[in-house]
Amino acid sequence: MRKGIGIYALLSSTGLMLLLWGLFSDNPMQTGILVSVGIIVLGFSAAKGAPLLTSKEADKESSVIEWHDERNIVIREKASWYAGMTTIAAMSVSAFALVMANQFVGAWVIAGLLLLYSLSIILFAAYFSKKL
Amino acid sequence: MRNRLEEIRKAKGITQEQLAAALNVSRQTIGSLENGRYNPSIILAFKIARYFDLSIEDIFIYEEDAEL
Repeated sequence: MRKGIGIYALLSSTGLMLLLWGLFSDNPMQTGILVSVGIIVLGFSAAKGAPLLTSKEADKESSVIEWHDERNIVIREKASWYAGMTTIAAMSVSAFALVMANQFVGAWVIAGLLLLYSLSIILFAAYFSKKL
Repeated sequence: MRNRLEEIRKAKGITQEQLAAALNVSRQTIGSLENGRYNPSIILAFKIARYFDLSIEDIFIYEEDAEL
């Protein structure tokens, strides 16, 4: 198992549990706090842990070369741009859909959008990094 | 832009890995340069030219029509 992956897996689980706890809480304030903290913890651990899952085992020196490689820098910049643009488009549609559904109001809309935003950035960045 | 990188590298008996290590870039970058999928920065072009003790124009051939 890769170093550090356990910590991020634990953090992801904690974030998910906080999120679910918040979702099923009757107290609106408690819901808001738990969902917000859950999303932050889940988003942070996913963002930090995902590269450990997708990256190949390599020695530190070659990782440094890969990171500073000018072609990889160009690919990362392109991937970030495409991920950002795709996320903005996806956010517009999902925000509209959530509001139209009229079931998720107030904090739910914000929580849902934050979650979608975090996941979209991670997924699209990974997708375009491979594709470009 | 075309280039003669693969031809020059093979003539010198150097592998992509060796060239990549000497230039501090990834092997994939050397492969992409040789296939014409990636054009190097001016700094990398100079590094490559100096590595082979050639001028940039000896390695990279700019084709104006292809860029339009």
